[in-house]
Amino acid sequence: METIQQILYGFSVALEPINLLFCFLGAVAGTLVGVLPGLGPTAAMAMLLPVTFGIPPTGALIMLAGIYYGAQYGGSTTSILVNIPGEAASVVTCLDGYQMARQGRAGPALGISAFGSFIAGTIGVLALSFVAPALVDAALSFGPPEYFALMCLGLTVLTFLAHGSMIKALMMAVLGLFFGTVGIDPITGVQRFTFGKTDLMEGIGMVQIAMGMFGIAEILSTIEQTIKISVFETKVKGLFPNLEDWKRSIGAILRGTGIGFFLGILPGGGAVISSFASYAVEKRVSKHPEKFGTGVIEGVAAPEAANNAAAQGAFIPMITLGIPSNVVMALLLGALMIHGLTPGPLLMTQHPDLFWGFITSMYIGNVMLLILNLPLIPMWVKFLKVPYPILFPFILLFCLIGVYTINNNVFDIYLMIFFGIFGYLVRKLHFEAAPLILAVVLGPMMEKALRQSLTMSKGDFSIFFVRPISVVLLGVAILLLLLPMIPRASTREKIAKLEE
Amino acid sequence: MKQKRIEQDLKNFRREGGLSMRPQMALVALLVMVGVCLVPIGAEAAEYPAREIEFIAGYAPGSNTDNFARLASKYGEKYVGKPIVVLNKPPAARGFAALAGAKPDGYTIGIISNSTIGQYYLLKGVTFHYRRSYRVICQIDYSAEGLYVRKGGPFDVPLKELVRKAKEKPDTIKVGIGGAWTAQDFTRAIFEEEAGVKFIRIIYPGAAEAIPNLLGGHVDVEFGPASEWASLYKAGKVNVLGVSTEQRDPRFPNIPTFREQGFDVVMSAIHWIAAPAGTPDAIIHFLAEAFRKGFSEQGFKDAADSLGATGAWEGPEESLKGMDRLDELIRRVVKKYNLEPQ
Repeated sequence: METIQQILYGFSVALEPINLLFCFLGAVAGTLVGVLPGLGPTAAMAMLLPVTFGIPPTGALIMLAGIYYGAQYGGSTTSILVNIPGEAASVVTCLDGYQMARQGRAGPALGISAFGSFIAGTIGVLALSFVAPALVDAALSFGPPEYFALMCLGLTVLTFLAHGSMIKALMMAVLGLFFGTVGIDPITGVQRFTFGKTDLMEGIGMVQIAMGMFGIAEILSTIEQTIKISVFETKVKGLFPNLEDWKRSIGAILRGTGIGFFLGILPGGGAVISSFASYAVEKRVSKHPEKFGTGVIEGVAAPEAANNAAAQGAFIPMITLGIPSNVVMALLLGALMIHGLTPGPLLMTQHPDLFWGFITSMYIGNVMLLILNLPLIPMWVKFLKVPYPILFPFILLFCLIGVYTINNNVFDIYLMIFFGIFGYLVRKLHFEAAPLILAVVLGPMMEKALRQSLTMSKGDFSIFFVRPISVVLLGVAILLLLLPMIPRASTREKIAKLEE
Repeated sequence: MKQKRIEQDLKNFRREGGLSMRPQMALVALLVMVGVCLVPIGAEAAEYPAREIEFIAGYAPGSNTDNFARLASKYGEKYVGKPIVVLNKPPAARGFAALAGAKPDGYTIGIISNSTIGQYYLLKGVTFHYRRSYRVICQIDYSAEGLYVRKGGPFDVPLKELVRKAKEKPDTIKVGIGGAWTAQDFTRAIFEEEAGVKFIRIIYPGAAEAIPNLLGGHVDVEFGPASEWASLYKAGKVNVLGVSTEQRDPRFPNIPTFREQGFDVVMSAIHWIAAPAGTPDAIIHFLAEAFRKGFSEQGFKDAADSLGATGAWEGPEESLKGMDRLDELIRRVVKKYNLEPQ
């Protein structure tokens, strides 16, 4: 009951005209940076941070948060339209979203991603308001061994990502694990594969790789196919998801929300991992897993819901403990602190107006984003009619600017171009980019967790098997790897029967 | 079989156009890419400061150091008379190197810290040295390193008792550190030496991952600056057994220092503003004075406080002395552990 009262109080703060305005500005800015490839919420928030010094902290927080979850809405747009992930969490959306666009179903894909984001966002905020403290305890029970087990489970997702040759997918994954080792070793401080370049000390960023291997590579191969056969002449079939689409997506959205929310609470790349994981889950539960990657709507709905729910989940450690679970949260904390407020467990009781105003602003923000995004869909779809020779220099330009803004570093542009050319070449040989990107995300976290665990246990591997959570996660991972053997056997029988 | 597949792949590769198709279009794409990399930057000299000043922070937005860079620029620019624009150039070594290599005309300044001094000894390929590469303008803030434990946990005991336990069973207490050879890791090293104990050292990439592990009971103790534990301490989630300042922090009068408990561990995490070596005296003093005025505002002090540090301006000479003291401490640890640039 108390919570409901507090939420009502929060609405009274969030509905103040000035806060509504900040919420709207944040949502618009977020959608915009989400749509522009590479230009992520971090860069936008860093740029707008000085502006927020002049406005009251509640407004500042509402606006900055709006940018963050707004970007999750916008991020899918370029993934679907031109196969360029607007930000890292939208990589998976490329797989089926872009295929849908090629079939003239860009509208429903964009629509389901907006609705999916809305549903996930709203459920996420509800969970945030009511069960945050309980969930944070669950997150705290994850130490290094549990993380390691979780990453092992994450790697099994690989087997669901590949829709061509499994060997090739695994080869790309191994290469991704290798790219993940570049940079200063977080445990010992030793430089690995940096060739003495400070630019490589923090490793190769996933956004640079994703934009190169999806975006630049896509541009290069489309150029090669010339203007004649292009996506953009396919007839546009419907602008919004139909009943059939909804039937297929609703389960995916709910499952994606659950996965995203929980993984979002854990520090690290929650949103990215959750989008991959939810995709794998959908493929697993689907009756037609073989169609994934060819433009099925569940393949868009699930990861989009997951990354939005993860965006909400990530607020939990921040508001309950004052611990940022990702860079964006760190920025929000920084904004609060520069205003002279101490984030942490006491924020809720010391500044209830700020705390509840901020939480409830997210309900409002989600509605705003839905209203903002739906009318944009016909516009985005029209955008596909722009002739490619005119379109591609602009896409390229935005990619170049976007990737530069990540670290204000020209080297990142070279990296993206390198991965673009590399992505183009491996695409010719029918290798897929997604397994490599997943491995780049998981590899460093997995390595770190493994080494931390073994330091704890002084080199004893049994640490992974005596802790209940890690043993369960490892068990599920093994099970998932073994499961595909069974249906395969039955299909073989069927084929054998048919041949008879 | 394999051979056949490779041949098939190659055939597909050729059929789909390979690399040779449409070279002119690929050329256009490449030209666009190269063109963007070559944007010229113009600059002219006039009465200082004639234009905005660039403030390099070698850390990601939202990190502790970035927060101080933004705080300093916010309060400094009023008195400098021109905007001070924070430019994030992570990782730290890149930011420090960029500052050292910038034109010493007063239009590029930056934030430096303990790591600037330490990386000279620890990171292979680093050429910047706190005395040779920079001219320090002023100190922004300092913050104590504390040793903290989970409240109510098995190690929530007085420091002496913790040390006794550690000596009784050496190499069993797990210490979480938010970054290898950061200020907190140096504090740990000095503490272990002074107290004659040895912990199991578990490195995390940052406090954001280390703290949940302490709260979840996966590690037993942690070292870190007040910015990391202040709010958790106030909320009763952690207990701080000792801090590395010379005197007790007036904000936390109940937390004893290491020194008063018999361990001679004095170490602070400090941020300074610096310009590249060769920046004229007049500019250094102008900026130092501007920041002094800005930092004496109550708003600055409050914000520094909520960031967990003590905002304390110190002029160029005193700041350099502080750096010398830190350099000595760092060299002591480097020597003891036989650390080499890696």
